[in-house]
Amino acid sequence: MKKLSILVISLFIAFSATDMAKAQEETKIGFVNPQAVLAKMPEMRAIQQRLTNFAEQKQQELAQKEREFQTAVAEYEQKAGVISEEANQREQERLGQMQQELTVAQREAETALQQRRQELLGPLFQQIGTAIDAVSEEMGLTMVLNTTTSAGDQIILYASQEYQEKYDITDAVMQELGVFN
Amino acid sequence: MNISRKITLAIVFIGAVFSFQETVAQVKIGYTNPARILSELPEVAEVDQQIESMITESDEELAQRATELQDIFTQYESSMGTLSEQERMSREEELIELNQQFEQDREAMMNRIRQRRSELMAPIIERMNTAMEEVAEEMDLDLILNEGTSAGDAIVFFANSEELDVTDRILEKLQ
Repeated sequence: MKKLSILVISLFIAFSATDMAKAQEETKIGFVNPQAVLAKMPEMRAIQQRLTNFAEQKQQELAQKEREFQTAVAEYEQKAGVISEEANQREQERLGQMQQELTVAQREAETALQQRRQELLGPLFQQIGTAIDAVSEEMGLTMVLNTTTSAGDQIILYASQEYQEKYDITDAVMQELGVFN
Repeated sequence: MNISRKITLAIVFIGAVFSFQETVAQVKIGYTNPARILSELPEVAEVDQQIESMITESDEELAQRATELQDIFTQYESSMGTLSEQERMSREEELIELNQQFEQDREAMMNRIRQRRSELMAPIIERMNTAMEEVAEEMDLDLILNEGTSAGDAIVFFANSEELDVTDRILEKLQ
């Protein structure tokens, strides 16, 4: 009886030692592809539509400006031969100014689109972040890496089948958010 | 008592072995630079050459058409004085259309070239990925990270062993 209890106790000690070693030393690195999660979120369709509308509206504004500029150029070309040198110079300056304004407007439109995108996607990324935190805590992960940059570069080039099955939490994050692959 | 002490010792020992294994089974991470791998492959140089000649060809075609377009514009400008307002308007619309067509064709050509390049690169990239997988299996790696982004930002700044850079091993397999 005594022997048995010693045996049980030592077994227990041995296992808890393993457990402790495990808890202390095992680094568990998970990974997630946030773009894949984003693409599956139901809000995305509406956001995509809003961004497309916004881009089209900006495009139209720019096209209008461009037409105005082209008309001004054509008008100038018609009278260039008959007006004074001074007037010519003034006209050219005016056209140069218009062209510059056009370039600035193009840049501003791009920035505005970018900003709109961030505004609309920001809350979604926040939700994804919260879901990642929840899944990671549940799984006892040490760290979670991003698999892909927004420019499309892969950060994780390879994960072994076994590792992927255990630590790719993309699906788990989708489930946490209530969206399904 | 003696026996049970032995058993205890044995169990503690087994426990120690397990915890040691646990350490050994830690995540193993390598890294590589796919851009460097591709840049050293002769097949990629061939693809680059093909694409280069495609670009030269389309550049020539575009230059030719640009000259033609320029001629048409010049012709119009010199005949402008003899045309009525109405004729001028319709002629200008035609010219704008021609110009737009030219831009569209140029865009389409560039797209074709880009697409051709990714078609040609796809099997090479697949071969690289297979080699990467083989190296990972041989070295028992769980993960292989990209050393840096294509924009030139570092992802891996430091590794305490050169062994963890698997670029040369992958290249060897591709030779």
